[in-house]
Amino acid sequence: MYVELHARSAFSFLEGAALPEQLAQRCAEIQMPALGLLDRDGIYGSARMHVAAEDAGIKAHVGAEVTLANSLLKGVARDVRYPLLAANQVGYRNLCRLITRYKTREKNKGEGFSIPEEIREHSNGLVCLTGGDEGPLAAALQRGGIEEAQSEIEKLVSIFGQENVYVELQRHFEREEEYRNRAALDIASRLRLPILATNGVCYAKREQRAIADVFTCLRNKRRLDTAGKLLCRNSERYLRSPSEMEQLFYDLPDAIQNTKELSNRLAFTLEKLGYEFPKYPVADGDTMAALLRRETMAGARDRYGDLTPKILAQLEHELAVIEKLDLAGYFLIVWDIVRFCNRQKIFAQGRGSAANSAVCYSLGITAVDSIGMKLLFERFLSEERGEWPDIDVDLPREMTVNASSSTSTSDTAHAARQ
Amino acid sequence: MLFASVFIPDFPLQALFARKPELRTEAVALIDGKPPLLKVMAVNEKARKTGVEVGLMKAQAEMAGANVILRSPEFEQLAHRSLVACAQNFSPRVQDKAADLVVVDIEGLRSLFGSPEQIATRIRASLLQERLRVNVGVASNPDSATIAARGFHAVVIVTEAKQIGSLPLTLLGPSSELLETMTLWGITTLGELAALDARALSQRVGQEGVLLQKLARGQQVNPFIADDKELEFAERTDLEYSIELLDPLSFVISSLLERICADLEEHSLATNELDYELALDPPRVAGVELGDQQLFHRRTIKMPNPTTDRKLLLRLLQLDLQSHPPTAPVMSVSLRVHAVRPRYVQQGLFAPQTPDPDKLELTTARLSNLLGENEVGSPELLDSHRPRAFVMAKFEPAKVSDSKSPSRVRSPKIALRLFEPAKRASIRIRSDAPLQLSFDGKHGDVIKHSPPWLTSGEWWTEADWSRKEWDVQLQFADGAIADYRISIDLQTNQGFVEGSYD
Amino acid sequence: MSLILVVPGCPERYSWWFLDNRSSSSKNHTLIGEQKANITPRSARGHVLSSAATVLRAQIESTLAKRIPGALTVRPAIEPEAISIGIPALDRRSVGIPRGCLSEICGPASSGRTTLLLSLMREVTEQGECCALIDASNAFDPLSASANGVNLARLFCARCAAPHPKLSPVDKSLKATDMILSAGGFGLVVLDLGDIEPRLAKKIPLSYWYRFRRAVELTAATFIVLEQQPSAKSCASLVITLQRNSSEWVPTRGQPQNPKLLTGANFAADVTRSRIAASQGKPPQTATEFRVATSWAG
Repeated sequence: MYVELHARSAFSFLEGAALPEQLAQRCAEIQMPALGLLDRDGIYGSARMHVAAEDAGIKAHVGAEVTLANSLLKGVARDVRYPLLAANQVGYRNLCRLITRYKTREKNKGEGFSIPEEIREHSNGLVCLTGGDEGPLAAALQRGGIEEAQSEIEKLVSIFGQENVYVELQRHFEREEEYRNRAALDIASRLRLPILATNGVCYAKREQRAIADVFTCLRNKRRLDTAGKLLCRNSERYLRSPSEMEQLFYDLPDAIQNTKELSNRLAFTLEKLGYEFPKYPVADGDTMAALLRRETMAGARDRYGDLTPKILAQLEHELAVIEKLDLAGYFLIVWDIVRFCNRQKIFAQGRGSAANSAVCYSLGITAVDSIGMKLLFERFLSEERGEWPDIDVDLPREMTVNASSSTSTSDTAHAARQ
Repeated sequence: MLFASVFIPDFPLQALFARKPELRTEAVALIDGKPPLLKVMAVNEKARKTGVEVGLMKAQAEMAGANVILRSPEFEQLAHRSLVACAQNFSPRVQDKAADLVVVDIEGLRSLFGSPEQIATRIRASLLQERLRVNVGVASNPDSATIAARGFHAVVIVTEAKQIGSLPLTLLGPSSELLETMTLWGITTLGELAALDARALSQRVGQEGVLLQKLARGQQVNPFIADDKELEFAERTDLEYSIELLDPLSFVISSLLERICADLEEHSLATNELDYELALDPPRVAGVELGDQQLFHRRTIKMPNPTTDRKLLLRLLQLDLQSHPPTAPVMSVSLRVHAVRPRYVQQGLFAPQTPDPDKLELTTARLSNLLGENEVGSPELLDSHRPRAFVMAKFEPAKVSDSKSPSRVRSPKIALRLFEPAKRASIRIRSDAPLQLSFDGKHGDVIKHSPPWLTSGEWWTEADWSRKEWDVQLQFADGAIADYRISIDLQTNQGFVEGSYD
Repeated sequence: MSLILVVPGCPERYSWWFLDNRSSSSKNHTLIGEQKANITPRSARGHVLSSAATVLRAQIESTLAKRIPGALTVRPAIEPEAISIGIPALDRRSVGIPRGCLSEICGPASSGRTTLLLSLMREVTEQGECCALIDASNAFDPLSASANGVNLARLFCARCAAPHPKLSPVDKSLKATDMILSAGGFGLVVLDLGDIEPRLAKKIPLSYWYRFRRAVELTAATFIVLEQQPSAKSCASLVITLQRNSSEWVPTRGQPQNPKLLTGANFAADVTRSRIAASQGKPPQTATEFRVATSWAG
């Protein structure tokens, strides 16, 4: 009956010790029907989690731990993380936008924090948990005792709504945590909020605690011998089975029950992404496929000069596959980005498996003649593989893009800035 | 430029007579070499009269009735040290040229010691107090001064080259070939050599001749390089018979310390580190080679503050010897201190009182002796989840900085009082909850208990640990009620009472 | 000691100046006592008489000074300076632990002695002074001390419980106390006999307590003995007796095991003897209650 709704994978870099696939597999083994993956400041692991969950026959809930700067919360020595779960597509979009905003604001890769106003703006469709050791309830309790904690939770309720805040309880056999649980229970009953049992999962199996410790060392640039109290206190943050959790929270059946209910509420998965490749704008009466073909041929003539039968055959083959998989729009977008860069005199270079494509070469995305080099197109794109193609275009790091670009390329410019 | 060269003629003999003045009036022949090939290498006037010459075998010398004594490197070393020390008393710029020769830069000493003659006379007199009869030669360059010291008796002030002209060529130490050539030419004195034509000389006998001629002409050939005085404060003494007890050893050490401390004070220095080495005389077992550890007892004592207090150093040494006694009787004692500038600390007028560092050092040493070395000091918490993770570090109140930011009004927290070591207990548990406890012959019922607490760590080492704890309220047979912390070592399943909440 | 009496024009006040030539400091006269006289018309006559008596006394004393110093003088008690305990409820009701005196903190196990002691240590170390602890049972827990805000770098510990061929832990702790008191320089010296059986502690000869008291008497140091029952008798200026009223165990889970979380305890402190208070004419105080939380309960 229990569902784990607060887990992190290795995509919380150097914090989570298990790959999404390992978590999914373990869920299957212990007969846990669903899992909520909340990685730090991103949804990097969600795609792999989704696929692995499908294979394992479980449901993968999407969410993230959003970091709030410690400087904004006086008296707290560390960052505070808000665990957020996407309840529906709106929530998912909000989550992505929220993370994107504060990440693009940040100069250094891997850092970035949100501010309360931003969270408020993007709160629709999201469920907020009160967190474990790093959550807002723990931080407020440390700051100013139970009164401060209660007012903090009241703030969350005002942001997310009464039905969208769950008071989290974790039991790892630690004295301070037990005291916090008591405070949490008090607050939950006073504010009439549902309680939620989670295990704050950092690894799939007990033994992986060792990996978590090693990661801690790497993260803090210490050795095992010198990391001291930074290391895990015990090995209790593994994926507990439903029966284990039910036993652990024998006195609070509501906390267990609510996990199932919440899991049912969280309708959103990446299946329902409704993802379509963005459409490339074409003139009336024209199609993306036709435009692509035209531009490809024009570009091929530039590149090759004389189009031998061999070249033509290859181009035809590639275009056929692209059309079949309905990917013309994607290619056109990339082509547009590269054109934009060329106009702006920004150096852009395609790399990777895209170099295997004559269409990419013709469109000027890559600089390698795949036909002359006898490169295999199927490494880049094939029907059998069933994967979307991956065209990586490298751009210089510091790039100032002239904001007054024409509207048709404004989206492209924004995308390029990513 | 003015230099004084101080030379001890008949050095080995003088070295002996300085230590054993009673032999001066007897016929003495010094022998040297590897037995059984012991040959006479020096004789005094009296011995020469009896017919003993350099080169005789030991037996022959004895037969002639002379006092045949083995040459003593130790005496020669002492004589040499006296020579250098005396010279250093007059000038800091001293060049230690040989065991029997030093050159002193006496430029500028007029106001301190008088004319060059007076200086030389005083040098001679001071060495006479050490029972060494020296020659002192003064000249404007060190080489001429040395030649004069070697060639003339007592004090000689050389102002002109011709003063040394009468001295024999051999004084310059020419090679045998050159000497032969010179003799053939009839050149036997420095003056005669000086008079030769330089160019012609060089053509005939080469560079060596030219150099020697320069010396003969009273010119400088060798540079004067003052020795770098390495300030070493060390004393050593060999004991006549080995010592086993602390008291007599203390006595010896005390006198060594007295010299060292006086030395330090003279140089306005102090010490905060003392090395001592005792050479031991362990019982020898046939066929067993003794290692360095068994032959020497070496230790170092460090003080927090530089000091010249002899009593303090002696006490610290005594305490160290008590706690780390040598394993065999002691044959010699060497002490060496590291000299540093003394530290002058001004106590703040309103600074709270802190323990006096010297007294503290003594007290710590005494307490360590009484209680054990790891039982005294300042407890320092270690960064670890492991319980009781702390060490006893050195108590250094002077180094404490009030770096901690003023914490918000901190309310007291209930303290844990440890049982050290933790008391073994047998604990009855049901469904992960403790019910009853027995320890120290007492039996208690658990009236209240907490959920179990789990900790584990150091899984990558041999000392990996894993334990379960409870906080419990116990009621004993006599009705007493108290709160305790109990634990179970999950690897051995042994129960413990860690301590009480007091 | 010699006496100089100054009787100013206003007869309400005499000042007694004692020449204290025992001390080696450059100051060799100290104002040790002031006597205020309540002058009423009746006592005015008595006052004139006593004034003559005082002069007479001064003459006698100065004659006997060499053999019997201060022969007829009652040395008035000095109100000593004190350290606050750091527990608000206690500090409000009492004057604190007096400096230059021997005080006892007594009570059975779990009565709050160590907590009180750590609070004192925090007060002392925070002000920059150093503490010395002679631990007869190696009971000191640095983690508890640190949680109580004690600056461990200013604490000097002598642990006495290691086995020794000839000396018992109590023997060693007494010797260690002597050494530490003679070294001086500590604002607070604590002899922790808290886990020593009362019968062993009571066997400590009174001479030790006298000696310890004398060692701190003319200094600013505080000497405290922590034990299960008082044993220093008249040498102690202050005896605080502690007991535990109750400890707080808060339910954390329901049946069947019903585990609880220890969140705090309620103690009661009774100042059963205070020479200072007695000299001031204050009645013995009733027990003061105070609560202390555990380090994990906020």
